[in-house]
This record gives sequence, structure tokens and C-alpha cells, in this order.
Amino acid sequence: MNSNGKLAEILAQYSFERGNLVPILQNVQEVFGYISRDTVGEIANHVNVSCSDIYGVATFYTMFRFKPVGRKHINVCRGTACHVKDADQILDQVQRVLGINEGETSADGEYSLETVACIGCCALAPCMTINKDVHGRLTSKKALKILGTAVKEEE
Amino acid sequence: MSEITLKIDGIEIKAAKGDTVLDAARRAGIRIPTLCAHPALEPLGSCRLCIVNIEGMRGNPTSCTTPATNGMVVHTRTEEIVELRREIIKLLLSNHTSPCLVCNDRTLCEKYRPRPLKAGKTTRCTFCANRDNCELRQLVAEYEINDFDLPIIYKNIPLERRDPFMDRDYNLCVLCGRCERICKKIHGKGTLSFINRGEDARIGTAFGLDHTEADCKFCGACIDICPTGVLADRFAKWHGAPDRFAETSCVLCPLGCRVRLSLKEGKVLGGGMTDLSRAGRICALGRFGLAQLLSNPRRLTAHRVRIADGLIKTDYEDAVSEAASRLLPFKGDSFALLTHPQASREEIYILDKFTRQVMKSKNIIITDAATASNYAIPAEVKALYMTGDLVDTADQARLATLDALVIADLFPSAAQEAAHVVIAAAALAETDGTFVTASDEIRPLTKAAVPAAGLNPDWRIICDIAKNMGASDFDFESTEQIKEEMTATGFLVAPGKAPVPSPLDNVRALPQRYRGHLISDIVIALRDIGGHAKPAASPEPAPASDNRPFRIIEKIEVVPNTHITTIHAPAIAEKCLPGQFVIAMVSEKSERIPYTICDFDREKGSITLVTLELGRSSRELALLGTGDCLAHVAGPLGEPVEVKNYGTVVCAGGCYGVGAIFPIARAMKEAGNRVICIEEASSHYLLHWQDKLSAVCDEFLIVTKDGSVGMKGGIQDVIAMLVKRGEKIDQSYIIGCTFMMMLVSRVAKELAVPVQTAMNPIMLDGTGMCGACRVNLDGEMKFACVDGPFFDGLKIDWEELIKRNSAYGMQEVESLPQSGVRVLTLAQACRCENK
Repeated sequence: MNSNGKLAEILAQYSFERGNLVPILQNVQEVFGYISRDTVGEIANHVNVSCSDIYGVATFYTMFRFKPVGRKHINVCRGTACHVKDADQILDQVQRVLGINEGETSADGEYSLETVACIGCCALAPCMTINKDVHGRLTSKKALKILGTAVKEEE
Repeated sequence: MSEITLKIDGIEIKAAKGDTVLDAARRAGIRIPTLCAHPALEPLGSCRLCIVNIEGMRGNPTSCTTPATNGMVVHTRTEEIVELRREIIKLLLSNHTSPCLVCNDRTLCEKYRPRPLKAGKTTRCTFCANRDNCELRQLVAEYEINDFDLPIIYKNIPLERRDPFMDRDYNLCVLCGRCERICKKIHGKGTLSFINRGEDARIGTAFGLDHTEADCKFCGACIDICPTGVLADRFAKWHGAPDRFAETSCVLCPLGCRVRLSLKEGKVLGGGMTDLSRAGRICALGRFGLAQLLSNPRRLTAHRVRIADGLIKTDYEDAVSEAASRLLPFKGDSFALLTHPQASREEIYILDKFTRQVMKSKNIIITDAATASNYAIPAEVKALYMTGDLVDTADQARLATLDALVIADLFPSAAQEAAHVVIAAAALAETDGTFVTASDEIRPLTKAAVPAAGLNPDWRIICDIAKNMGASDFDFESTEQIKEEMTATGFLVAPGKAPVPSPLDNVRALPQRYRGHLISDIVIALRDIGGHAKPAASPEPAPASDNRPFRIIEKIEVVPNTHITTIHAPAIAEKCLPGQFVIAMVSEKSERIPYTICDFDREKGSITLVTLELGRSSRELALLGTGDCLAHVAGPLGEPVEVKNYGTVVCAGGCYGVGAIFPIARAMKEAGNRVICIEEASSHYLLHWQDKLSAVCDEFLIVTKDGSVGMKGGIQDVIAMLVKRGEKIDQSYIIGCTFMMMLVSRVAKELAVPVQTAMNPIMLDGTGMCGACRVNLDGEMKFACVDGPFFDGLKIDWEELIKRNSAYGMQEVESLPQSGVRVLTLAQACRCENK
């Protein structure tokens, strides 16, 4: 099914109300991985508000993305517990290994990196998720291993 | 109306049920300050300025959102409330680029600079087009805020000036939300919305799209409702606050919308809605077009008559009598009169009466406004009078064969080349009358604008021609008299058809023509909207090779509105000395503008200029990027400073002068002086080149107008401080705006400190020929270009200099380009490459 068809299928599940906006956006992101300019236009027609308003709502919530994410989407936790356990070091390591900064996607579309305020497993701090898998009690070395990249530090 | 009674500040007040506390207070004439509230909008309660104390109610509710109830006791100006409001204003100011508000020299600055400077980015009030209308400034005055301890945060959001008609600088935004609320109120689905959150929250469109892509109708309501200088009408912005408003009807299409014109000194600056509601909405032409048609630099201001092969200028009386004698021999159907449907009823009546009664012809034709000029001249016609460019383009050649062609128009046209008489006319808001709308309603037209001297409206031109021919029934002194006769004779003007789709809802359906002219030829910004004629795009220039003269090696915007441009110019770099300047032309048609050389590298063959965007020419330079070329750079010009060991030398610069002072400081340091560098800026976000300057001096001092970094004050305060601490200043060099150099010179005179100031007067040739750059030094006339640019600041007649520098203020404003900035490089600038 093409993307238009998929989008129509999502929209068909919701009535034409502004109140459905966030669930629609969540559903669209779930299916497409991100919220594109085209989908915003379609959603705008469906709930009868302007594209600017939809963009306004979507940019209010950090969970919504407007660029495609990598096949492996990494969230490094920077919540209180992880912060205390030196999450910054983990983030630095991931950035170095992947060669991308927070908020970016690698050129080959394989990895994308974001940070989150807490993923809810503070006991495992510091931690990160790759797609839906949680990796806890990280060290720089462990992070390197998990990423499965044989990048050696060249300093 | 059911009434309630409440007590505000001890006064019993009757209010209507449904009133808010703010409404009730306003009814009683009690002022509560507001910012986000607006009579045309539903309350939002976001700015918190209208907080009040209500007995029995917790906290300090916002009066704009709190309903008034019976028996309520409200206090609007308790000590606590006033103090809280002051804090709220300070918080707003910290998000608004307003160091000018707390500057010690503010009063004097505004006296010497009655108009704000035409900057690209607004980094302070002096650079703000909305300075005279700013609601924040009014609040600051009302609450007597002369100082604030919060840092000003400059967000550095890119300037948005790609769209037609408007410039947007969100660095000034205080998030009152008026614009996005009025946009939704008028258009339902708005173009603007709040986007992002927290400190990144701002007003914007989806994905940062341009307004042309985000379904904007360009009604301009957002501009008119903005309390600060964020949203600005590009055409009107530098003219200052309007001094008058007048209601009239727009006749550019048969809808005949009501518009509220804003005027300054008789000139129309813009249109606006008489009622900020969906029903009162107007289109881009009503909002921006009317003003740009009337106050257009292309307007005809002189009448011309044919002598042999040429058209020569003449006065109105001569043009009228020439028109009369040319047309007189062609009574009967050999005469035709062509007019446009945007004429008033009175004008159509008079044109009709003239054609039928004086010229005894039946050929009066009102052309169709929407389509192109569409009239084919019948074979029997030998004499033609037309009120515009109304003949079919295919029939233009026929014009040359006419025995008499009289044109009354506002703009030049090709047809006028064949004319025997061209009369420059007054029109639209320059005359009055009535107009019949598509819904057959008769609406009044108001004479609000003052036309250029010697310009008369069409009805008067025709009356004068008729009288000149000996007709007796054309003694009308006003359109009112014409209307009376018209009504008595039962003359009817048929209403035009309402345009479909409506230009109110579709920006592509805006009327295309006025008096036969393509409006987009005159209102240039229309070309950025789809559906209007665009000129053919010029081809992209080939990238310039590295060794091209005047190629930009590096271009950066070092701080907002300040650009550092390093140019490949080996011949200049080889010879230039500290204190000299160049004259640059961005394109071959640009103005020649002097810029001080701020650095040079003889080995690399480059010179560096630090420039501010402050008008048309500096904007052209600011819009160039690395790799672009300037058309010409002439230099080095002027006398270099005398470099020797003076002892202690002060080198002080503000704005562009921060860069300009650098080569002098470097040379003075190398000559063995003790060098003290002073950098002045309005606020911390405008400081630059601190590292470069501190490397070439013994002491580096910063002074800011808001006290955010270093001393609070200006260079003159630092010099006074240096003298006070016992420093003996043997020489000083001051570079910056004329106002700053004047302040410094005044203090230096009192303290007997020698000052050399770099003059920046209006300059043309830069070689001592034209005399435009004269400076009065104790009665002795000097030329800044060859005798300067440095002169003894103690001897300069500053008042005269400031007056001379503002001599072309209005022309400078009028010359600013009206099209949106679409590309960052100017293709024309590289024309020399293709030779």
C-alpha cells in the first residue's frame, strides 16, 4: 500500500475533530516514523485546522519528529539518575562512534540520535534505548560494544 | 442591558453583565495597562500586565479574563500591583532588543535622530521602524523604568524578508499572540500559529514556510495589530508613525471595500481594515497596493505636450489648453474617449457629458478592468482621449496614426510616446466622489492624500478642457456639485461584476490592472505572489574565479546587522594606510558608497570592510556572500592618519567604527605608543572583534549603553573616566556614527583631550570635485574625501554636519527596494565577469 493509502487508513479511524489531533499525529509517526510536510497537509484537511496550527501542536511535544529517523533510533537518557551516573559521557561516546550529533541522522540513514529526559528505568542508569530495546548500566566501552561498531578511538 | 455595580479604586461603577473587570474599568475611564489584550480580540491573559487585586479573590487575576460581578471590589494601582507590573515589563524587555530604553543619552539621541535608522535587523530602538508606535516603549514611559537588571536576550532568529509586502523580525517578539489570533479571527484557518515551546516558543508557520506558501492573504491585519516592531509593512516602515487616518473605499475592483488609510504629511502609507473582523477584511491591494500606487516613485508629476518629435514638460494650464485645441477640430464620431472602470461615478458622468455634449460623439467606452487593455480603435476615430493605458497592445501602432491623442494618467506607458498631450492626473485617495460597488451600493470616496503640486483629478481636467473649448456647463467646483447634476439627470453607472474567486480569499485573484497598467509593474511586490506577471529570470552568473578583482573572499555577519566583508583587491591592499577608505559599488548601477578600510593584508592582497546595513546601498553589500564580486572598489582614498609616537593614544570605535579603529590601533601600537582601545556597543550582543582589538592595545575597555558588559554609558564616559584617573591622553581617534562622535567631542572639549574624528558625510566622487562631503571646521570649509576623513573633533560644526547628513532622508527611504529578498547573491554584481 502506498503512503497515501496508509495515511488515509489512519485518518479514517478518527472523526473530523481537532481533539483527535494528537492521537492522529502519534499514529502517523508510528507508521511513517516521522511527520512529513505532506502528511501535515492531509491531517489539516481532516481535522479542519491550518497546517500552522498542526505544526504548532506537534512542535510543542518533543516526541514528534519532522525528519525521518534512522533504522536504528537511539535515545540516550539524560534523566536525573542517568545524569548522576554520567549520562553525558555515554552521549559523547555515542556521538563519537556514530559521527552524528544529538538530533541528527547518519548520512546512510542507519542511525539517528536523540536524548530523552527519562525512560523510566532509573535502576539501570545510565541507559539508552535502540528502537524498543533498553540497554542499561552502560559504560563507554559497553555502549561501543552494543552499537556493534568496530570504530576505534583515534585521538 | 442588565447592570451590575462594582467598585474599582474606590469608585462605584455600573457595568454590563458579561463585562470583564477590564471592560468595566475602561467604561469608567480607569486605565489598566495591557499588551496582549486588544478590542478586536478575545482575551487571552498571557502578558499579565492587566493584573489587579480583587478583594476576596486569591492572587492577582488578570482583569482582561476575569468577569465583573456585582459587588466586586477591585484595586488596580496598589503599590504591590504597580511593582509587579514593573517586573513584568522588565521581563518583557529582557526578551526584546531594547538597550536604547535605558541609555543615558536617549533624549539627545532621539532629538538628533528624529527618525529611526533604516537597519536590516532591529538590534535596538534606534534601528526600529516601529519606534514611534511601540506599545512597550509607552509602557516603559508610563512605569518610569530607567534601568533594568535583567540581561537582554538576543535570540538571533533569521530575518524573514522573502515575502511580498512585509518584513518580519521575530527577535523583537514578546509573544502576545495578537497576530495569530487576528489571523484566525479573520481567515478561520490562520497562517500564523504559536510554534515550539519554552524558550524556543515563537510565532511562525508550518515548517517555517514563507507566507506565500502558507496560504497568507496578505491582508496585513497582523502588521497593524502588532504592538512591537516584529511585523512591518516594508513600504511604510521607515516613514514613521502616521499623522492621520481617513476612511474611504478601494476602487481597484468592483467590491469597493472600505479601507482606513494611514497618512503622513499628506502621503498615503497604507490601507487598513476599518473593522478588524472577517466582514471587514480587505485584500493585499487594499492594504498595500493603494498606498504603493499613489506614493510611487514612478508617478507622473509633470504634464507634457508635443513639440515636433518630442514631448516637453509644461504647466497644467498650458497642457489643458493644448489638449483643448488638439481635440477641438474632431467633434463628432471621429472623437472617442476611453476610460477605466475604477473611476468614480462623478468622473464617469463628466467624461460622458464631455464626450456627448462637447465633442458630440457617442464613443465613450469604459474598459474592462480585469482583462488586458482591450479596446480596438474604430477606423473613423481620429482623436482619442484616454485616462490610462487602455488601448489593446495589438492596436498600439494605430495610436501613432491618430491626429490627436490626449492621455491623462498616473504612470508612464508606451502609448504616451505617441501622445500629443500627457496630463499627469491625481486619482484614488487624492480626490473624492462616489463609487458603485458590485452589490450596487454607493460608497463614498474621500479625498485624504495631497497630490503633487499641479496635479488635478480626472473630473477637473475634463472640466478645464471643456471650459477651454468654450463649453459653459462645466463650472463645477466640487464632485458634490457634479453629483447633484448627475442625480438630477438620472445618470446611472452600472455596477461591475464581483470578481470570482474573491481576492479577499484568494491572493491569486487580486485585480491585475489599474488604468490599463499591470499593477505588478508598479506594485513590485505583487510579482512574488502567484498569478501576477513576472519579469524573465536573469541567468545565474558563473562562479567568479579566485583572482577576479573585488571578489569577496569571506563574508560574515559578525553580530546582528554588522557585516565583515573581505575583498580581493591587491592594488588597494598594497598601498592603503590606516585611516583611509574606499568607495565601493556593488553593481554597476549601484550608488558609490565610502567605507573605511578596517583591515588589510598586503601579502594576500585583501582588504576588509566592516559595514552596517542601514539603507539601500549597504543592504546590497550586506546581501552579497562569499564568492560574489563587487562591480567597483576605488581606493585607497583620503588622508591616512599620522602614525608616530604620541605617548598615550586612545582608539575608540562604535558600530562599524569598531572595525575601522583596528588598523589605526595596530599602527599606533607598532609606533611605540601606549594604546588604549575602547569599544562601544548598545548591548552585549553587538560586541565584536574584542580579540583583535585587545591584541593591538595595552588596555582594552568595553562600554555598553545598557551596562550589560563593562561600563554603562558611551565612549565619552570612558574618556572622562580615563582623565579622572590621571591618564594623560596625547591623541585619540574616534570612529562611529556622527551622533556618537559629537558626544565624544563635546566631552573632550571640556577635558581638553585632543580628538580626531572620522567623518562620514554624504560623498559622491571621493576625489574633491563635487563638494557634497563638505565639513565646517571653525568656519573653514573642508572636504572629507580629500582633506579627511579625520578632522579635529573639537572644531567641527556638528549641528551642521548632522543636518547635511539627513538632507536626503526621504529619498533614502523611498529608494529602498520593495521586492522580497529571494536570493542571497546578486546576479547583476558579477556582470563584469561575463564581459
